[in-house]
Formats: sequence, structure tokens, C-alpha cells
Amino acid sequence: MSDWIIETKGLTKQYANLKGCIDIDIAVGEGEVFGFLGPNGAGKSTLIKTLVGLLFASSGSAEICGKPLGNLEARKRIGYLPELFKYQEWMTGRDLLSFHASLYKLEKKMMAGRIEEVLEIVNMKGSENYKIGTYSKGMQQRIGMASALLSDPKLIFLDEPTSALDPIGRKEVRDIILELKKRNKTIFLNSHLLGEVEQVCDSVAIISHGRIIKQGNIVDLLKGQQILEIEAENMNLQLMSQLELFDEDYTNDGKCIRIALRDPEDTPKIAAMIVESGGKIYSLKPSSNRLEELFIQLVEKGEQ
Amino acid sequence: MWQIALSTFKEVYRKRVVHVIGLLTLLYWGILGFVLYMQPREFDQGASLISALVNLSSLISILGFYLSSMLLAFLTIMLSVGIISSEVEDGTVLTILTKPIPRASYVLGKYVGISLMILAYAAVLYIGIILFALLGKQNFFQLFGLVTLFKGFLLFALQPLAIAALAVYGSTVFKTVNNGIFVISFYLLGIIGGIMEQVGSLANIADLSTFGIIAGLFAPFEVIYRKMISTIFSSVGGYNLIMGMTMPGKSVEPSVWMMAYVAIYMMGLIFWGIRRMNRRDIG
Repeated sequence: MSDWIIETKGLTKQYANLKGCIDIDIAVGEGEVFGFLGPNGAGKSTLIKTLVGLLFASSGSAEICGKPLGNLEARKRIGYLPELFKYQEWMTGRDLLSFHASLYKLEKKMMAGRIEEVLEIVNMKGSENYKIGTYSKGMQQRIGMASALLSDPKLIFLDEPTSALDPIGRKEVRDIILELKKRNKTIFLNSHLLGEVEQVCDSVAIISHGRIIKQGNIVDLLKGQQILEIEAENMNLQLMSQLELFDEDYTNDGKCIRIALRDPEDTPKIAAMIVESGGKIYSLKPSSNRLEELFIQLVEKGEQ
Repeated sequence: MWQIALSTFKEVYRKRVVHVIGLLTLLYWGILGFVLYMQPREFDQGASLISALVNLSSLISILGFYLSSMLLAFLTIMLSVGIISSEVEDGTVLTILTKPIPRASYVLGKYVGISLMILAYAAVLYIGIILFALLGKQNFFQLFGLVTLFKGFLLFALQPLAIAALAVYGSTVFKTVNNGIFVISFYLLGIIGGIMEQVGSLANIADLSTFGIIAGLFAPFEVIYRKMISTIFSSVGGYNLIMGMTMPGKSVEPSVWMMAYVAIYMMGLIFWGIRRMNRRDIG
């Protein structure tokens, strides 16, 4: 039995149209929040559905909690919130949780307490007796999350949990993920909201056209991925060409110049150069979307 | 399996179609009550005993058992064609099949859940026929006996259970709309096959009978109905007077082996449904 909660070796799931995910090798440790990133149609949901046993792998192998894919014992230890999910609208939130708790075969004595606990975690206390059909999208997402947490799983798969939510809903889900992280849960997070992934994930893998193009610890991946954003005026041509000394591929959209720094010490040098050449700096700051920058670079490179 | 069965039963109970069927049932009972109430007066006006028995058999067969059986089949088709496919289509199944339950339990649970609802509705309709016959001054308990009536009920309920088995299988293969077409086609094939078998038998056209029998193997729903009618009416020696679709005269009573075939047919469909589900990619 491996030490990993998720371990895949050459896992492939291809559909008849050859889309899907190909030759996936990942290893996720206990208590880790793992971000799985990729553009739409890259194969993210295919991998999750294969890992939770909804799709059958075309080739390769994988273990979840030390058991092969589809193993019922392993399923007791996982929670899953699908991207395009729907719950029985005729049920109340509590009915739904009772039904899912019974599917997990939770003991009756435990069930009531556990339902209260998960309602607390997802902040749904007081709404559990309303029908799901009356819930907002955010509430449905949270009751779905509650259902995924019922068995107190070691591993939770969240497929685009914030994609349909407003900023408040997104923050609520993010807070739940952070709370689960504190409880040493392993989370496999599919998302293309990279700012959020950067905030909560320990490690990430980036998939494009079905293949993983980069993976690793998020801190390591973002090392050397420092983007300087400059808003300035009076930038003459000579000055612009001098910026190429720092980054040959810097971009300028007329409002903001973006330079990928090789060395953090370049920041004061660039500022001094602009000021000495008569430029006016209004803003000079490191980019807050470093993961997004990396993601775009890698995906574009992959497409080329 | 029982969790899925219970949830399916509750879900079906809360669907609008059950309410619509409830209203249809009340309407049907109204007509049945009126006709049965009028029938004894016809008898009083000097009809012969044979003629009276034929009329009563026809009434009970057509207005009672046949229409009830159609109503039951209709409800079964409406409720079961999307029993699995609709959950696959709307994504409800994604969170169920990732729980620690085998897919076989899911399919069986769905079938058991819908069967419980069918049995409950079948019992209501069957008891309704017996009560309405009392209104027509016919005591079925005296006329047929409790055992015969119970056997009749089992066969009365067997037909929709067989339809549900077909619908559950179809629901693992087709989308809901396509499954509706699939199940209704088979149901009609059964009815047409039954008519052909009887007409062939009546007119001594062997090919027609053979076609009817083959159709009955694919869709043995009408055969079950005929077995029910023959089981109930043979106890009073009147079964040859009236059969199935009111085809008078020579009729073929389905054998016990045919009923054994129906049992295998149903188990086979559920088995293939489970097999299909076990191999199917979801999502």
C-alpha cells in the first residue's frame, strides 16, 4: 500500500472522439490541497470522474486511499461534489443529507449528530428544512458540500465548486476549503479560478489537451514567476527598448507594462531607469495573479 | 438497495403523474360504478342466464380488469421510463453512484421502489373492481373464492411489474424519451401479438398465431393479462365465454410454462440492466 491518498500511474481515459485525459501520473499526500488546473475541455472533470469511479479507465492504474479505483471501501472515505450536479428538488436539505448518510451506511445514532455537524461546517443551519428546489445556487453548492462531507471523508473531490457562484459564495466555499484543510482533509480541487487555487492549494498540476504539462509544489512552481506590473507615462521608445534588457517578451497594453523578472533586485533598477529617462511612474507592483501568469504561459506554450 | 428503493418510492409518490392518475382513476371508477349499477336492471328485464353471464363477464373483463390493467400499465410506463436515465441526464446519479453502494444495488433499488408503488396502486385498483362488482350485486368472494381472487391479483400486478422491468432495462440503455418510445412500442407489440394469436386461433390461421406467440415472447404483457382472466373466470367455468380483448369463443389459455418464461424474462431484463450499468461510463 502506498503512502499517497491518490496515486495514478499512466492513467488514461479517452472517449471515442479521443478527448479525455492521457497518461496521468500524480501523487497526492494526506492533508494536501491539490489543485488540478486546465482550460475548459482539457480533461479535468474526466480525471475526477475516473478517480471517483464514474468512468472506467482506458488504461493505466490508480489507487485511492490505497485501494483500486471503484473499490467500495475506498468510497466510504471519499466525498465528491460534481461540477454539474443536481439534487432531488423534492427533498429538503435534511432529507438529502439523511438519504446520503444512509448510502454511506452511517449508523442511525451517528447520523443525526453528523448531519448537524456538516450543516454547521457549510453554514446551512436553519435552512435544512426547506426544499432543495427553493435553494439558491450558492445554497445548493453548500448542501452539496455538506453531503460530500457526511462520512467525514479523508479525501474530498471538488469539481469547480465555485464556478457558478458570486464573489460572496466563492469566498464562503474558499473558507470551507480552508477549514477542511485545518482538519487535515485531503482535497482534490478542480478549478480554473486560479487566484483561488493559489490561495488554498499546496500543490498543483496543470493539464492541457488531456496531458499534464506541469505539476509540483505551488511555492516551487511560482519561484521565478515574478511579474512586475508598471503603470507609467512618458515612456519613450528608447526606454521601451531598454526594458527588453530585463525581459525580452515583456508586454504593454497601453495601460500596463508587464515584465517577468529574472531577479527581484531588478525592480529598483527598472524604477530608477524609468525615472532617469523622464518617465512618470503611477504604480509599480508585483502581479497578484502569478499562478494565472504561469498557467497562461504554459497553456499557450503547449498549444504552440 | 433499500435506501434507493425507499427514496424511489417517495420520489414517485411526490410526482404529479401520480396525482393525474389518481384523478383518472376516480373518473374511471365513476363510469364503472354507473355501468355496474345499471347492469342488474337489464338482467331483471328477462335476459337468459347465459346471456346474463356473458354480459357480466364482458363488463367485468372490459370495464373492470382490462381498463384497470391499462391504467396500471399507463402509470407504470409514465413513472418508470426515466427511472435511471433521467437521473443520469440531470446529474443526480453522480453523487449516488460515488457512494459505497454497488451499481447493481442502485438498479435493483430503483426496480424495487417502483414495484412497491405499482403494487400499492394495483391493490387499490383490484380492490376497487371487487367493491364495484358488489355495487352490481356481484359478490366476487362468493363467485370466485378468495384464493382465486388472490391468484388473480398476483397476475394483475405481474403485468406492470414486467413492464417496469423492461422500462428499467431500457432506462439503462436509452435516454428517457427514447426509452418511452421503446417501452410503448413493446407494450403495443404485446397487445397486437395477443390479438393476432387469438384471431389466428379463432380463424385457424397458423402463421398469424405463430406471429402472435413470437410477439408474446418479446412482450408477454398481454399474455399475463389473459392468464389472469383465465385464472379468475375458469373457476366459474366462464373463462371460454370471454377472454382478454373480449374475443369470444375459442381461446388459448397461457400455460404455467409461459408464466415461468415471464419470470425469466423479468429477471433477464433486470440482469441485463445491471450488467449494462456496471459497464457504463457515467457523466
